[in-house]
Amino acid sequence: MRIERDFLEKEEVELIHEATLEILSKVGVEFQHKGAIEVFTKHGAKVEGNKVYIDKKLFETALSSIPQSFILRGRTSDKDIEIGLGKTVIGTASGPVFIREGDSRRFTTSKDFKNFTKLCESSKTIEVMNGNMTEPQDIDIEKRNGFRLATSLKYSTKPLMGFTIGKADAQDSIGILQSFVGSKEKNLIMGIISVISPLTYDFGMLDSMFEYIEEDQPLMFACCSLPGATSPVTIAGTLAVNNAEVLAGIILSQLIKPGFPVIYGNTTPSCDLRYVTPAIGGVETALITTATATLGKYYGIPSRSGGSLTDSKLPDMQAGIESTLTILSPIMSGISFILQSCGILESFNVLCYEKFLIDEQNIEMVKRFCLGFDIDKDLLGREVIENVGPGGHFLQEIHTMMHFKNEHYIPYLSSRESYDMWLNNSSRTITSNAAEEIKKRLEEFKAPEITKEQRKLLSQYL
Amino acid sequence: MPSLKEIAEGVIKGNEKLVKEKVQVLIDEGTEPLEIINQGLMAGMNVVGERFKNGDMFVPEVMMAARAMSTGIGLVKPLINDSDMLSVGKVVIGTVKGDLHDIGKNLVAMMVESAGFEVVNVGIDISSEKFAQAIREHSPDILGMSAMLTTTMMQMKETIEHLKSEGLRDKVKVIIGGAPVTKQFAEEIGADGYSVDASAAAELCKYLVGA
Repeated sequence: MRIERDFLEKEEVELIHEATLEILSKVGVEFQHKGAIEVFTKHGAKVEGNKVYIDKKLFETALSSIPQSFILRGRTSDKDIEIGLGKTVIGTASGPVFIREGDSRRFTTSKDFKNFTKLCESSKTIEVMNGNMTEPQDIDIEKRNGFRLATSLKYSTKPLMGFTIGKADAQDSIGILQSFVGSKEKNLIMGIISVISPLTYDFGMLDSMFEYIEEDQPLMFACCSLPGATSPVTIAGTLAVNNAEVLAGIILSQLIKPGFPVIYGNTTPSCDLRYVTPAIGGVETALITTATATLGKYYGIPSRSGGSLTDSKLPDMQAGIESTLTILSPIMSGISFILQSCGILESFNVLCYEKFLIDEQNIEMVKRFCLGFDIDKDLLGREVIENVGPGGHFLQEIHTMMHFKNEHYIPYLSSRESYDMWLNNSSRTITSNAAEEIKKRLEEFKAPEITKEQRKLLSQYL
Repeated sequence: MPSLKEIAEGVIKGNEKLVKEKVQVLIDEGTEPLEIINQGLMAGMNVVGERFKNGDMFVPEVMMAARAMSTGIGLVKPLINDSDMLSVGKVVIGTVKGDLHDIGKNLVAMMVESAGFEVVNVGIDISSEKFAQAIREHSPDILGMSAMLTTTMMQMKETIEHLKSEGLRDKVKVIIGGAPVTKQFAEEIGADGYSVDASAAAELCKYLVGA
């Protein structure tokens, strides 16, 4: 028994697919980059100025070469991670400017970046790091990317995501990785190419894309439209436009280099039209995510969504409700990669220490839920049921000892003890437990070993 | 020759078979019986109690450990004169009338026994008269009462009242426990103590007898 499935019917997927083909061939997609236009022209696409029209034939040819999965390299081979083919890989936050810690909300600093890198490295849940995890405000913008990549390499051995706002950004990200590992091997660092919804790619992102493709470093193409504002207000219409714009970028990548590894991403949230702001913790975000997983499988491309998302300002009940919904949907629908998995508050603006740990636990709970349970002779426990008989108990049985840890997940940050025990133990809440655990994890952290040359390389950025 | 440490480890791991074998070997080789109990079996169970208290061990693991320990004690006990058995004190324990819950009470009995007490477990559905009878018969230092139901917890009060009328209340310390029971309730009905879980119960017993 597994809690994992596709939620769209085949006919529904095909309706989105047909609408997508029509958008691509009749409405077109804007690529604000001469090089991109040249690629499309060379492959016989109809082009008007910056607008490209992709017909069914070109669409099918380009998508036929995409690998179903690829390996993103860690600094040690045991940290290599395969993205695609059924497994859900969990990545870090991306881009918050503020930090919440206890009662305080403040700008993020270089110290927070270090702390969160350490927390991600020691995390059993998070498998991929991100140079763009936060925006440390105490570091000049020109030096920020170098600092973040170098810090990630100093404290982490997990695969890394780099920067993509322009060619120089891309070159710096790829360059530091190549120097650090001392080779120009494939899949060292992954970038994100974002669409400007609806149906537009800007020059900087495309310029960066060429660089990643040239250096054989994988890319994630992703959109984040606001239904009702930058895509149709309906979920169906939003999905059609999102699908068209993301696939248009992916098609370009395959025309440049067939077989280049990519991820099909969609982080479109709900949109609250009282404010026209992203409602990332909205129920519809979760619905769009399930469709994204199914569409990824339909085209044979690894898929990506957000997860543990909320618009709440505090790690409170709203945050818990919204985060659970938005992390359950990608895991149960089989998304390949989740970015923004732990610690997000305030519609991506805030990274919260305590929520980071609570989300880790929540992800493990959701994974346990989606794993379901097995039924076989031993698990049915016929023998132990007979031994114990009516009126007995199972606490002292080997069968209990053998299975209790695997069958029942224990959320250590949550309270399940009796009221008096809880009272005697300082009435701890999930957030106070998380705060305590963070302190412990940071104190116990040991940085990975790096060579003298690597240390020298990083020191120029730190 | 197996060491006492190995026996302690066996108890901690809840490995009844191993404990049984090793204790027998030690007995055959002439190791002092009290040494086997105090430095082997009890030493192991003390670690279990500590770990359980800290949330590092689970109830099934504690019960397996306790079973391994009592199997070991069962082998050693016949070799010791009753007067040599070092008992910290005697506890009569039971679940009150109308309540059939057994497991929590047994867990407390086990932990209290592991702390060095002699425990008389009188079972479940015990009326105030039966508790009074057990006190007359066993002269314990402590009476432990358990109730799992909100509907049966008032039986604890009734038992205490009954002990008073029989002139037995001053002869024992009374402690209570169970899911609906609180410290406040314990005070209200005139009990001497209350604990939140089994390992705290063992500590409470030690405190009450001044051990």
